[in-house]
Amino acid sequence: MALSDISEKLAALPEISHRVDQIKHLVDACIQCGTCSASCPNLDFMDMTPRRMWRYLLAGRVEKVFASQTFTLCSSCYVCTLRCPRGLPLTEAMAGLKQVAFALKLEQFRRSRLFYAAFMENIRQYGRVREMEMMTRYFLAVKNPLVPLGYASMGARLLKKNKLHPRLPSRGSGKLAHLFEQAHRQEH
Amino acid sequence: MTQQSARILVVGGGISGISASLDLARAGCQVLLVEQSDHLGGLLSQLDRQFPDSGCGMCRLLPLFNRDQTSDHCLRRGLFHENIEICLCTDLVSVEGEPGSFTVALKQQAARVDPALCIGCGRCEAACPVDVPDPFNAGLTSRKAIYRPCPQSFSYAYTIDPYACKDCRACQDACPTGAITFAVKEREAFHVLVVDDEKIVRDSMKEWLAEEGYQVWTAASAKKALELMADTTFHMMLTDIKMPGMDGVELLGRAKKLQPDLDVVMMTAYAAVDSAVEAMKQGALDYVIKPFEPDTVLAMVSTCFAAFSAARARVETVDAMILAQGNNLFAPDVKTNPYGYRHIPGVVTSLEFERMLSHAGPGQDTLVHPATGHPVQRIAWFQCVGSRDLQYGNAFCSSFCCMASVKQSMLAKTLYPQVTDACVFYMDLRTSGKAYDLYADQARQAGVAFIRSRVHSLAPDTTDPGAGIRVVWADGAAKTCEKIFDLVVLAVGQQPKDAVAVFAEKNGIAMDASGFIRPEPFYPAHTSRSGIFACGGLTGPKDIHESIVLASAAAMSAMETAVMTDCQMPEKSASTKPVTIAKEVPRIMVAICRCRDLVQETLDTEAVSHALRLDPEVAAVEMTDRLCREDGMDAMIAGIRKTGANRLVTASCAFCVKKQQLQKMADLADLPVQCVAGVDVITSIIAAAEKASSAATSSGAATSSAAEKAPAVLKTAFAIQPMVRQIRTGISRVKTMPLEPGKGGDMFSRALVVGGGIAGMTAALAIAGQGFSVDLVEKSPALGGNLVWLHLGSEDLTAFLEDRKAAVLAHDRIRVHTRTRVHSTTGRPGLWETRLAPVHSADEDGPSDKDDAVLSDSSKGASSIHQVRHGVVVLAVGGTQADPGIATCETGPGIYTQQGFQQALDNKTIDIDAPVRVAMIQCWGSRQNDRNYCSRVCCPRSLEQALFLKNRNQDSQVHVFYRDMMTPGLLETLYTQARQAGVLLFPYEKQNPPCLEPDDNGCKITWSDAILGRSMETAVDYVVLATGVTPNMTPDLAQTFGADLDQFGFFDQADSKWRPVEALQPRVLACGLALEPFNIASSLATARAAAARAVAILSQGKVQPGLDMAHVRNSYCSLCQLCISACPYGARHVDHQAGVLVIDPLACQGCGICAAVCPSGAAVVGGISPTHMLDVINTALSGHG
Repeated sequence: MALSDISEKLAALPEISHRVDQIKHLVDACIQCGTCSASCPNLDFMDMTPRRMWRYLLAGRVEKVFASQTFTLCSSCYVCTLRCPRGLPLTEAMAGLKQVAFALKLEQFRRSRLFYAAFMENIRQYGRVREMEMMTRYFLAVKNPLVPLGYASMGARLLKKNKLHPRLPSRGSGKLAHLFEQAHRQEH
Repeated sequence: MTQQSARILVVGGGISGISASLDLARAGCQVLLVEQSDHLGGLLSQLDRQFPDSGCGMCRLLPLFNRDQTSDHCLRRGLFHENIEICLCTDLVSVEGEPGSFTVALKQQAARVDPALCIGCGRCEAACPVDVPDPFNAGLTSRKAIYRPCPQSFSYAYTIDPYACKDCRACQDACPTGAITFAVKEREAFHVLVVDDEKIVRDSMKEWLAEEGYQVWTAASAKKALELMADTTFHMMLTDIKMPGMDGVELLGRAKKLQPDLDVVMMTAYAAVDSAVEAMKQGALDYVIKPFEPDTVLAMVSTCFAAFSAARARVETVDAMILAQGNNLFAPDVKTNPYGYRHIPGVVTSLEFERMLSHAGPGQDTLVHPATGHPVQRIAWFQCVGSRDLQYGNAFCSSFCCMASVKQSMLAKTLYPQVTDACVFYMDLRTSGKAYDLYADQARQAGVAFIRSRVHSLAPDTTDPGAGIRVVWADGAAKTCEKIFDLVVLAVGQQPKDAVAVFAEKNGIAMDASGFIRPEPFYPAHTSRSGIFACGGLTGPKDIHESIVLASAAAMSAMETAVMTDCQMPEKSASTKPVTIAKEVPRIMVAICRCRDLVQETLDTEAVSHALRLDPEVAAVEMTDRLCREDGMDAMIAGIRKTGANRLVTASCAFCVKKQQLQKMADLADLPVQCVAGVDVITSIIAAAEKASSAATSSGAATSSAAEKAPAVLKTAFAIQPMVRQIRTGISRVKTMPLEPGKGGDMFSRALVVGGGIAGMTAALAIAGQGFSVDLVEKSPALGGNLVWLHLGSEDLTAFLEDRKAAVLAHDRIRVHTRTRVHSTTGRPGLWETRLAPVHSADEDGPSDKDDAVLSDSSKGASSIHQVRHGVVVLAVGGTQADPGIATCETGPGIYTQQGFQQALDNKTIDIDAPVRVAMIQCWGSRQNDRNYCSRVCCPRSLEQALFLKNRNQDSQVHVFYRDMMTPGLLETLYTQARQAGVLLFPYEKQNPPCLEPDDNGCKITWSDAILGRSMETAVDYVVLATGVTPNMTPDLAQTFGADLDQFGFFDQADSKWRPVEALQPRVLACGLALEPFNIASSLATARAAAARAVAILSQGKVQPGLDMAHVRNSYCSLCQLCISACPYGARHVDHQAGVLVIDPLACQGCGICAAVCPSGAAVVGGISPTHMLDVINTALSGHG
């Protein structure tokens, strides 16, 4: 079952398991006051409040954390980090959880992972986002014809407002490639 | 032999400073109480009501005996004590020296209003054109630059805010008594001479320096400068070097001859630095290179000014000093200001709300929105604003805010029916004390909602400011809730004062990371510098209760220093003023103060004088002037001598009605103070004049000024009648005097301390250290109490305990009785003869042989009953861990009590180097049912144990289940550390505690988690139950000495806040766990506080009767003993040997209940007889039809 899956996966990957411990230590001093949850602008879209998620993480119930989509919805606005009375780096911890989830290649985060990948690749290539191309690459990667359909209405609205600018893919200027490599080296 | 009494400096006139000063003064020390602001009382002068009785009880701090030496009115109205010199508006500038001889420099702001001359008429206030926010009302109202510091103050005297005052001197012209003088400001007294041939330099220097407030002269040449110096004394000279004629260096030489103390700074161009250096060899202080910034010169001038100013400071020598400057409140508008304080209307601090609730506050008994003026209906309190906030670097809990918000919310809900919603948003409700939980329950019953959540921020509603404040919070399991409030009260925390940190650093006093003074381990009031003590919030945030105890402990420590440095505590000199005067026919002199013609102008004094003389016992009516001054008083005394009067009545202003002023007059006139009465006529004259003038104005009379109109009205017979009646009331007060004075009381000057734990030992050592003998009774075979098991591997604690034990056993004034208990007592308070009986315990062969060997002498003696005589008793019987109510084990996996687990850890019966799984359950049987109090010690101890386990093996799993984490003050760091170490903490609700299912391998625990919104379970090896503390007090023991137990079985304090270590009978004291649950540091503080009280009593020797003490007319007394049961203070006893009723002068408060219940008129309260009182009432009411 999925829950034991994650524990097994973590046990098999000591490096990633260590990373989870590190994230846990980031929020160790949490007193569960709920400031982060109430201040989160994306709370309404989350299946679990950040407070509850931190609680599961601290209680060692990692499978519960990764059964939720909460951390993938963090838009890094840093409000929780700013307001936390304990001064905890919550946004950093959220980002850490995303990294772990993607590194484990968990099925439930596949779309998130591919979306982030498409986004970053687009940035790397052009130094900004070209929405059409990014989404196209994302849809190709997802390999599920139903997914683009889900975005159809939003695409139509954006087109209507003249927010989408179809352009042919190019090789791009590639000026950020060096930066990305540097960041990759630092992370690994 | 002249004995010099100990002299102690107390810095800070807040509640801690007052409390410490009174304790010292009571014991006979001379106290110098220095306060920076313009009134005593600190923060408490702004709080009308306090927990637990939602009233004010500060006056209960006042001494209970020798009350004639001290003020006996509301403490917020002012304080005086013969042994306390109070210096307001005074700063401590520097400290030098060692314990026993500290040299301190004090700097007092020059008072511009003479408090003796000020009659509080308020004309100055009306004349003052300046309006500034009133800090007393937290800026919610405004006041003038001349104002009365404290609305409830007994003194009417005004004072001038030097920072707000514009020096227009309108008040000076308006003052009818000449009380206001604009003394030269200190900087103006500092004379600076600038010598330069360039006009631009002279002028700009003059401008810079004059702006800073210095008085500046300029001279264009050296010759001119020398001419100026012939007439004026200068303190500093700034001179150019290159000038035509005489140069700067030569001027320096000549100037130094004229005025050798002159500080000279040379101004020079870069090229001439050599000559500047030459000048310095000749005595110049420094040089500056032109061109220079204003700041460079100003810094030099201000250094010179500081030296000049310090030389003019008052220098005193003291034996020890107590620091009690207190803390600031957190300012919520610093940094990120998430709650929009000062931006969102309706967001106020707790102090502002406190003022809104006050009678003297901005709303005057109505609770209205500060911006809109509408009645406030929905109020929210946000806890932990600036406390427990690592973002702001405040790693501590501020201790008092939870209870303050509970109080405020309850008051708002009960006093104002308009308030529909009162919600307190908290993280942990820290009701960490004996009666605190009960109080919070009362608030819940009053309808206050407590919501466990922190509100992240507030946003202003820009569309409609009157619409209220939208508060959004995360509710337990659900997502977010929101509600609109009219008012949001930020429960701001405490912040250490920067000035204290600067002082501490300068004087080598150790501080902690948060900026508080670090007390020495096990000596809660000691700083790292010997002879300097700290109390109040200085050593970490405290509430009032803790502050009072610590202040007394600091007073005790200061007394110890004084004794160590050979300073004697003074003997009380018996006042033996003959009272034969009472039997003489009254010859009364009435002295009417003209008050610089103010009275003369408004009142027909001839007519008054004539009316008064109608009474044949009035020997003379004298007009005097300025009775408040020495010369005025001397003139009046001469009058008394001349007329041979034996009674004195003064008719003057409020200043001369003060008790200390009357005492001074009595001493000068050589009369008993009962023969002197003061009547304040000025206040009513002014009121009548105002009324008359407003009547004249409203009736459209001629344009002549009101003050001129008034006299005509007041000089009619009708107008003088009230004045005459007032003075006659005073006359009737001195006509008759009590014939019999109260009797002094003997006492045994020994102390009995019951309980040989650390509190008992500390109290015994402190009392014995002051030269009194002590009997220390301990029922077990060894001393040490709970400290024997409490050490948690702490070598410091073990060493401390051993050290104290050795000190007690070696002390030649302490007799130790182990295996002994109090059997019974005879005699009466002060003259107790207590029988001690041996305890035959079951474990006679207990493991304390070592101590037995040391104590063999007394142990042998304990085989039979023997008797000790003592004048005070300290009950330090301690407490024990409460029974968990279920079976616990001592070894192997299973359920432990906190103490059992501690012992298992110390004895290493648990292998903690291997990973273990431990669950700790707080409040097991505690804070509920009949033990509805927080035991204070268990949360910190559980966290310590959890940290201990985690430090030994990081893989150990520790779950702590708690209701509210009670780590007030600096203990909060323990909580943070435990969280950081990976201890898992789960809050639970009182009605839904974790369930235990013990099995062979340990225990399974299931609980429901509010945040996860589901039930959880875990298996652990060990369960530790924190059951709290129960007292060892028994009703028998307390009642033996006339004390009682409270509803929880602890010692019943006379007042849990203001008289925390004594019973209503002040000779019965208690300390440590017998009082309420305390940690070690607080226990030690209570022990010293109790010792301070004991020493104050014992040092009386024979207690002098107070003027208002009750006494018995034995010939009328039928010994019916009605008065004994009626006396609330336990002051009355039957002396069976003599067959008479006796009164303990220490306990009697002169309340008069005895006189009211006595069927035969035998009980009389000093100074008051029925005929006397009726006469006073008749006179006061005469003419009222």
